[in-house]
Amino acid sequence: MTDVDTLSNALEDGLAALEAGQPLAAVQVELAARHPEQAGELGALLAAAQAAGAGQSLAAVPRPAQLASRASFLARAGALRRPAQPRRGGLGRFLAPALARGLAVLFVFLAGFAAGTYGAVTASADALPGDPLYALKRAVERTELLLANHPAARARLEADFAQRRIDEAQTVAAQGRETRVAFTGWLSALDGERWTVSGLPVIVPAGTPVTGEPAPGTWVHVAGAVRVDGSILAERVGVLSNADVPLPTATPAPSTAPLTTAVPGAGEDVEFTGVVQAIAPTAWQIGGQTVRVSAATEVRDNPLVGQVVGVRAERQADGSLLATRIELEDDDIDDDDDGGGGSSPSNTPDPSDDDDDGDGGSSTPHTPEPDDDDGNSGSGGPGDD
Amino acid sequence: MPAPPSCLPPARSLAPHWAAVPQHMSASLDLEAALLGRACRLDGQALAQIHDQYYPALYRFALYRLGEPEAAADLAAEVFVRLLDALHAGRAPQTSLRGWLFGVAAHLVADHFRRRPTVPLSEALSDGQSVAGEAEARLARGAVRAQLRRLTDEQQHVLALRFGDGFSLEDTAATLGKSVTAVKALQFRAVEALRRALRTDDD
Repeated sequence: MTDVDTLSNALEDGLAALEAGQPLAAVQVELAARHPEQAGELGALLAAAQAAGAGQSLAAVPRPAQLASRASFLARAGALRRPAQPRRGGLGRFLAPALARGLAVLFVFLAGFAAGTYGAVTASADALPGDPLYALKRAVERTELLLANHPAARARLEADFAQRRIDEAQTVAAQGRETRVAFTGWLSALDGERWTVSGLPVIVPAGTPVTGEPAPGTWVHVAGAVRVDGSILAERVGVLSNADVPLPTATPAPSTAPLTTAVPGAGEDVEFTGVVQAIAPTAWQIGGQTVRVSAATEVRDNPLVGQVVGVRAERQADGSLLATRIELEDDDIDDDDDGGGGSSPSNTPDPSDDDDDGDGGSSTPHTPEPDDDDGNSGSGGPGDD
Repeated sequence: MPAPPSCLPPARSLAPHWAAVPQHMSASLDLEAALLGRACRLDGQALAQIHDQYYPALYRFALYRLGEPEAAADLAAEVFVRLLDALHAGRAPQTSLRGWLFGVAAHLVADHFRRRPTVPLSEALSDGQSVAGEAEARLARGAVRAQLRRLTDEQQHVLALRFGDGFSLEDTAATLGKSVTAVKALQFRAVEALRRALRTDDD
């Protein structure tokens, strides 16, 4: 065995010891005892290795960056997964959507029997905005939604349809076809009037009506027009969730007066079950409610949009919900009080309307009560009991 | 109707061709094969699992090489974009998923330095680490970092995996598709070069 072999083997022994948490000096002494001839050389090598990071604790991984990467990775995968793959799992899971689709086609077929033809319904599947059959395609979708009786199935359909809107907008923009589009997506970048929504460049000129506080990481609904040059010009934009974006970076409550008056129920633990409608780095939309997540949030089982999750959260002083744990629920839960808020963003509550606290510091909290958050879905709020 | 890409080689061919893969690695390679099979169909769960499993290691690898947290986060995210593109085009990783991901990361690191050759070497090594309070080590860090950049790419990969990611010798070898002996030699030469730099600077 050559000198170099001996040294490199001894170095590896030392590195393994450093990785195992032994202090440098102890490792150096131990190696010196075993290799007295090369004690000096080995000691210097180990010191150099330590200076280069050997045996030191691993760098912390920034959770917001990881979640943002995950969200855009999965969104992109969804865009590539054009023909919806049948879900793995039980036969029922596969059959239910197929059956619903068949029934939907039948319904529309019967309804439009006198005027339309069956062929039109099937041909409408590839229709784009501006096509004569596009209205029929949307009608089939609405019927499919009506026939989806499980909240998880409905949410999954809504997610599929939302993705279809984005794909359609992309296609007509690529064709430069002048037509109207509307879609919901993840706002990843916002540079003056140039926004990027689920990968689509959107122009939002100053003066465009925008409800809510758009910021990277929020979900927005865009209604607009494709122009002949292929750009998408927004005419209306609505932000879907509360979008409490500054969580990881800026200090909380940037410009508003310090909220010393706590809302009723601040600090209480809230537990509920709902369908994941959107996942963004700092907040999730679950069953119509916006739930903030932080590095301390324990997210189990990699829930995806469309799946049913159980949420444990703590009501914050500003009325928002901060999740302590989100985990996948069994699929066969029968609650039908959620899943209805995903299709039309305009009816989500927007607490951003009244967040300027300038009215003389009155202590009347105008933050919504816990149950108001999903007021659009009727009475059965999750926090009722 | 476009058929889903059948991008998977038979599961057995995922076993690495080099000798002496430790037991725990071959077990994880089997899991990886199953995961990859589902990822080929762009299965959301499988992709989420892959992202959760590999993002931290890829981020630390990039941080060790680039020294800038933001650039490292961008690079790690880009690796996954490349993975999707490959899966979609039916060019799935043929050997090991982990090796493929780190191979892409290494390419992106090289691209990064091609585009910005004179990058200031910032707080890469001190980031989030509590260095044993030796003033000597502190003084040496600048020299170490400058010297790190002078190592060969392969040597730097080895150090990034071993020191930046805390991988064992065996995991490092499997990730790089090299033999344990080769990795041992690479790390020895890298550390020796660093030691020479330290000695000329200190004494």
